[in-house]
Amino acid sequence: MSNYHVEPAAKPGALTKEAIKSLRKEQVEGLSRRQLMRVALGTGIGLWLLEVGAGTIGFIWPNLAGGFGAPIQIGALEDVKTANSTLPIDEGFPAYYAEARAFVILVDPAQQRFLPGEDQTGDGTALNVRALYQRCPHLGCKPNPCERNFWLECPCHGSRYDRLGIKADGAAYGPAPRSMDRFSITVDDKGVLTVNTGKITLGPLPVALGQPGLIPPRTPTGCI
Amino acid sequence: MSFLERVDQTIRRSPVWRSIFRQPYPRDERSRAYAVMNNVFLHIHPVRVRQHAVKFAYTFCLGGLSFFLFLVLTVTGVYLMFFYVPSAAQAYDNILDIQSQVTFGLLTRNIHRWAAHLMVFFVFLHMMRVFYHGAYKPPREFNWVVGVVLLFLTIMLSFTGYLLPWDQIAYWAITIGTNMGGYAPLFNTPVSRILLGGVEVGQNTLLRFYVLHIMVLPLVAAIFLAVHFWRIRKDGGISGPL
Repeated sequence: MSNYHVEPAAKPGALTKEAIKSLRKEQVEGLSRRQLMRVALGTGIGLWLLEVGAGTIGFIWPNLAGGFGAPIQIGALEDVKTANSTLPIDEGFPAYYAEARAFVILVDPAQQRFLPGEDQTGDGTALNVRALYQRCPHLGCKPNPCERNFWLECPCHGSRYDRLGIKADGAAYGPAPRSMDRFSITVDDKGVLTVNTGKITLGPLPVALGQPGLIPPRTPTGCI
Repeated sequence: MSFLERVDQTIRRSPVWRSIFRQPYPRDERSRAYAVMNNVFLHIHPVRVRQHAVKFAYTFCLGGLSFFLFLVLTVTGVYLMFFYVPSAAQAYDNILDIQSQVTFGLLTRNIHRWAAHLMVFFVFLHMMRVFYHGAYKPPREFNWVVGVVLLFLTIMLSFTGYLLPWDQIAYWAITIGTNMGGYAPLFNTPVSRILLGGVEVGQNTLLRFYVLHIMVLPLVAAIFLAVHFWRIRKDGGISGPL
């Protein structure tokens, strides 16, 4: 037998939690070093992940300044007519303004001008003009004005509104839960319309065909 | 020894060859098993295959087909990326150019499109197969959860890719899709803002969906696919009749 052979002091046992504990000179009181390191590391990584997560959300959050959301000047009724010369604007047909995401509509065609004033709720009867948000209250598509029946019709799921954006009640007229939303508007002394695209009032509940408040379609069949 | 044999021997004995292939060509059962275990491309296969595992009519290779389509989509997607700019002004024209000007462009785009539809279909069938065989039961319950995540990633890849042609159906489909999110409680507006990069579908949305479609989602999907395949081995191999 060589000199280098060493007999083990004791038969090795399994490295159980108790076996490791018994090897320590003194029992740990309170927090052990291992626990402290583990908790510190865990907290550090947790805080870092939180920071990165919050930073990422901040980084990808869109900057909404400028453009849609601000007051946008449209012009007087004559300007609307000139810009949409092929459309029967004087009969109250909706004129589309892409920049404002809005339909501008003459409320009462008997009176061919916008009346000066301010309308926060966007009803527009007092100003003889209404500005509708193009977003269909169902799922956000853009209803198109139909020259045949003078209604607004959404191509995505078939919600139908009269020319002033009032939803016709009933499943036959599409799934939208309410009428089209309205922008707050002002008309100055010269009759120039400004649409505040930052202030939107939800449209009223649908009105059944034949009831007051809903203009019937000019023709039974529309464009969709 | 002929000249060709000597060339062959020289190559096989060179340090370069031996640094790549550490073992000689496997000629017995043991070294064949070793070759499978030590090869990165083969190691997801079990060394020994049980008889039920090669029965086609049990799994119908649906998971494998889904993965194959994922690879097809990756390759054709890289090809398409050479000719596509995610810009609201250019995207649609790029699609038209791919279809009419680029050599094999129409073919590549159609393969990408059909593979995308088929991947959603096969992932769905794969899920059905696992469900009806009860293959989600312990010890495979965690792999079912990984699979559900992969289903979600597949659908999101399909959804983000749908916007990229930037035509009317893409624009309004994404408008509808993101507005549906608006009906979810609590996180509706923030999620829609972050996804759209604004209040409506626009240039920011196109860029965001592009980045998600070509980088973020495939990367996450690749990680989950690796875990999914690894768990098959660890959970006792490919599922067979109970």
